[in-house]
Amino acid sequence: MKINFNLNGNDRTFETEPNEKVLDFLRRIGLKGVKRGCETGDCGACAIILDGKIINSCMLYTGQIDGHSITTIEGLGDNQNPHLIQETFVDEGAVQCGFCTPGMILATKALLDKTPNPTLEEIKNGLSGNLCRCTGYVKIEKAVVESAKKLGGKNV
Amino acid sequence: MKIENYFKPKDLNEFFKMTQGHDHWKVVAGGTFVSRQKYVKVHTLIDIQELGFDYINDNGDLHIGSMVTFTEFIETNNDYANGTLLSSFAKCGPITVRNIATIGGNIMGGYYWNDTTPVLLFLEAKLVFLKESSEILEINVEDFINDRAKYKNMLLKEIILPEKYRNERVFFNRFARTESDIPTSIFLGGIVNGKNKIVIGASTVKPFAIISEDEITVEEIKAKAKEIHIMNDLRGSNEYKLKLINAQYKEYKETKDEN
Repeated sequence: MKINFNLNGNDRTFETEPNEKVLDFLRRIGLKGVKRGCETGDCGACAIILDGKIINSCMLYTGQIDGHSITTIEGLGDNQNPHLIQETFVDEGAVQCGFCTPGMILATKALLDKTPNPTLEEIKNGLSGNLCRCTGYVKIEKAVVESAKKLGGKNV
Repeated sequence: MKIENYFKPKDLNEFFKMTQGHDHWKVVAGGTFVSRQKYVKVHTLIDIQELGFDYINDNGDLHIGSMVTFTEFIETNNDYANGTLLSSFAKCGPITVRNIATIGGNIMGGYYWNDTTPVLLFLEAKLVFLKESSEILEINVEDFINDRAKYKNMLLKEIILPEKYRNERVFFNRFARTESDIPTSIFLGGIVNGKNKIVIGASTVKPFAIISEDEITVEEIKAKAKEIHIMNDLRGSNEYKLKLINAQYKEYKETKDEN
């Protein structure tokens, strides 16, 4: 079946199978920043932004994104031109093994786009779907605070 | 699941035409529940996001379309029942789940038992189903809980919360092992129309209500819980769940006495 949607700012058309999950589909087309974790919606490693909201791509079938807009970590920046949030995560040491990092950064982006100056409670809620086994979250939360300061209330 | 077809009907006529022609179909209403069902025989998924069930009408009774996500309701800041509905929906999984999971999907999902039915039972909500040929069926949540199989091939349109609970104060406590897990135990308590009312929900157990003119004791709750067989499961043993209910009851009593 054919699906049409906006992927990282570009309108695209793809052929998919009715039983294909968005996680599998995105990795099939080369977007490996979408990580395969628990596949039950518990860990957030596969998180993407759907119409401005952070969601787990393992929980959706491709038919559900038809007509919608999604952002993956590849849509934010790359090694040459990292997004300010990506830079801040590196600067703050909020990355260890890195497996949860794409999801964490996308969750941060979705949070700051909606709530430019979040409280600690709002940060914890915004990242509540993303698990990290390495950092203990302190540095990640600091990176969100610093990103908010650097963005100065702007959506980027 | 061996899914061979994925349909997205534009209207109800299309929906009923599609369901008539196929066996083993399942509605996708958010998707978080269907995705977890690995071993269910489903050949056709029917995505109902274009049927227009994503509305909230707060005019007297509160009408919530079945396709409203938990986040969409939370963002309204609706203070129905002094915020009880809001705080219970805010506990339905982490943000990644609440952003896509719908209230209707949670009700129709088959886990024993889900997050929303205990609170809807306490608030005497009604469910509106659509049957073929536009027939409308309005039932109490209690009837749904007691015979859910009867409604599995019907389309849930909306949930109606009665105006009489709008300003009621309700004690709500939900305990789950992890943020994304279904609740191990849910406890609601309050005084409604001069009577004490307590609703208990727990994994493996259909939610139940106790209403009494007298103070409800923890022994009564435990006796009722034993009567309906709270069972061991991955979320806790029978004994563990009863201890949880005991702790929730204690917290409820303390809150009640303070007020």
